[in-house]
Amino acid sequence: MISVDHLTKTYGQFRAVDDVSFACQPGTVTGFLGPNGAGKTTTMRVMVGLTPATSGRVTIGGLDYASIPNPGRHVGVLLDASAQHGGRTGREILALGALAMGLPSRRVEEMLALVGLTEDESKRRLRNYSLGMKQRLGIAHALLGDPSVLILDEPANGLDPAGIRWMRGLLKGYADRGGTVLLSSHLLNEVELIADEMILIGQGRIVAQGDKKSLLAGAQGAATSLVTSLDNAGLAAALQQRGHAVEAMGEGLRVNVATEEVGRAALAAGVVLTDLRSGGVGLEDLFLELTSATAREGVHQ
Amino acid sequence: MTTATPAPMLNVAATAPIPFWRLVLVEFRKSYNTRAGFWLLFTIGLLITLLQVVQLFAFLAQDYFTTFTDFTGNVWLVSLVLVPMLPILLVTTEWTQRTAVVTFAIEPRRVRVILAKLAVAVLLAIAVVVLMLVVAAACTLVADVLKPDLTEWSVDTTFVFAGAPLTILTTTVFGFAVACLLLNTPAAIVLFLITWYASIGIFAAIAALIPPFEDLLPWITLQINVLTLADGLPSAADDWAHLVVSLALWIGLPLALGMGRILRAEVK
Repeated sequence: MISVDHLTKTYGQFRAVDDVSFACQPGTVTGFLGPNGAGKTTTMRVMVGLTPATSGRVTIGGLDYASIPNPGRHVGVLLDASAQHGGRTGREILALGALAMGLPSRRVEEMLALVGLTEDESKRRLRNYSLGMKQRLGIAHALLGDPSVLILDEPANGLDPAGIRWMRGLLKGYADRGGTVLLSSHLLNEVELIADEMILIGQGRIVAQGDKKSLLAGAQGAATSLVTSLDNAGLAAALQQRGHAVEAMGEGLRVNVATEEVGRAALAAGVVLTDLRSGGVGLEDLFLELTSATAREGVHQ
Repeated sequence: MTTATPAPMLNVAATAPIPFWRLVLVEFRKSYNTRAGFWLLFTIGLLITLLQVVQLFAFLAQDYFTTFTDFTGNVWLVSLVLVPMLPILLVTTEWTQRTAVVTFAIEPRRVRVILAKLAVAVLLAIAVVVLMLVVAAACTLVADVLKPDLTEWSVDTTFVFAGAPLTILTTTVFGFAVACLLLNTPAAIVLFLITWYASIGIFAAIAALIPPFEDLLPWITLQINVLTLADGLPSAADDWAHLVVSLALWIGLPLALGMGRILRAEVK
C-alpha cells in the first residue's frame, strides 16, 4: 500500500535518506526502526509531501500523496504531536480537522473516547498537555478520517507503559481489520511485539528488513556462545588462536562462534568446561549491531 | 508491469476533494479560536466602535458642525493599520506554531490553503468596513436627533462604497503579502509598520541627500498611493501608473517571493 522507491533526500552534502526502498502491505504493521537522525522522519515527511524528495518516489496506494483527494480520509498522519497551536484546546484541534475533512462533529467525540482523553482534558489548551496526552491527541487526529493507511512517527514517545500497551492493541486491531500501518521508533521493544515487518535504517540507508524470524536467521553468522571453564585464560587463548573473538563476560567468556566450535577448542586444549550454552542473538543485539556502525556516539561499546 | 503481486491501490473514486469554501470555513475558525486571534478581532471591533462613540460625545459636549464622513474619517485611518494584523496572524502562526505540518497534510495543495486565508482576510476586512459604516450611521443618527441644527449626513458615496473598502482591502492584502514573505509574526508586523509609516520619512531623507531620487517617490511610496484610493480609482494615467508600480513593488513582489517559498519549501 505504501511504496517507497529508491528514495533519496540530500541536504547539501548530507544524505539524510540514501536510496531507500520498501513497501508496506495492507493488514500488516511495519516497524521503521533506527537511531535518532537515521532518516526515519525525513522518509515519512516525504511520504506526505511535506519534504520534497531529491530523487526517487513514494506512492500510497499507487498515488502521490498530493493527488489523493481529501487525503485525511485515506491516510492518517502523525508526524509531530507537538506541532499544534498551543492555545487551542484538544477538542478544538480535532474539530478543525473534522471540519476540513468534512466529518460530522460526533467523530470528534468518538476519537476522544477512543484515545482515552476525558471531557475535562479535551477542554484544556494543548500547551498544558503532557507529551503522552499530545500523542493520544495526535493519534486521535490521525484516525479522525477513518483512513486505511496510518503513518505514525514515534507515536509511543512519551506514552507510559500502559499507554504503549494500549497503542499496541489499537494498531494491531487496526491492521487486523485490513489497515496498513507504518510506525517509526528508535526503541526496538516498542515495535518488536506488534510489527509484522521491520525495516532497520541507519544513516539514511536500510541496513536490514524482513519479519522478526528472517531478520534473526540472517544474523546467524553472528552466533555467540557463553562458556565457563576451569581455565578461562587458557581457553580464551585457544579460541583466539583459532581466530575467534573472545571477551570476558561475568564469570566466563563470550565467544563469537557456535557452541560446537567452542567444545572442540576446549577438547583440543584439554580445558574442562563447567558451562557452555548458546548466547543466541536477540533482536536488540541485532538492532544495535546493525546500526552501531552508523549510530551516534554513546551507542558504541 | 511485471511484478508478481500488484501493489494494492487506494480507491479514491468516491472521495471528493476538499471544497474551497470548507477551507475558508476552517481558516475563518482559526482566526478566532486562539486567544491572540480572538482578542485581535475583539480589539478591532471595540476600537472602531469606541473611537466613534468618543467622537460623538465630544461633539455633543461642544458646539461644532459634524457629518457622517467626520465619523468614518478617523476610524478609517486606524483600520488601515489594524485590519492587516488579521492576515499577518493567520498566515504567520502556521509557521510559528508549526501547525503548517498538519494543515498541509490535510490539504497538500498548499496554494488553496493560502488562498483560503486570503479570502478570510478579505471577508473580515469587508466586515470591518461594514461595522465602521454602521457605527458611523448610528452615531450620526444620535447626533442628528440631539443636535439637528449642527448635524448633516452628507454621505460621501465615493468614499463609503469605493474609497474605504478599497484602501482597507489594499493594506490588508499588503499585510498578507508581508506575512507570506516573512512567515514570522513580529517580523511581519514590523516590516508592515515600517513600510506604512516610516518609509515616507526615510524616502524623504534620501531625496534630500540625492535630489533625483525625489522623482522616484510617487512610484515607490505605498502609503501615498493607497491614500489617494480613498477618493476612488485614479483617473489620470500618471496616477494609475504610480499606483500599479507601487502595488507591484510592495504587494506583488513579496507575495510572489513568499508564495514561491511556501509552495516549494520543506514544512518543518
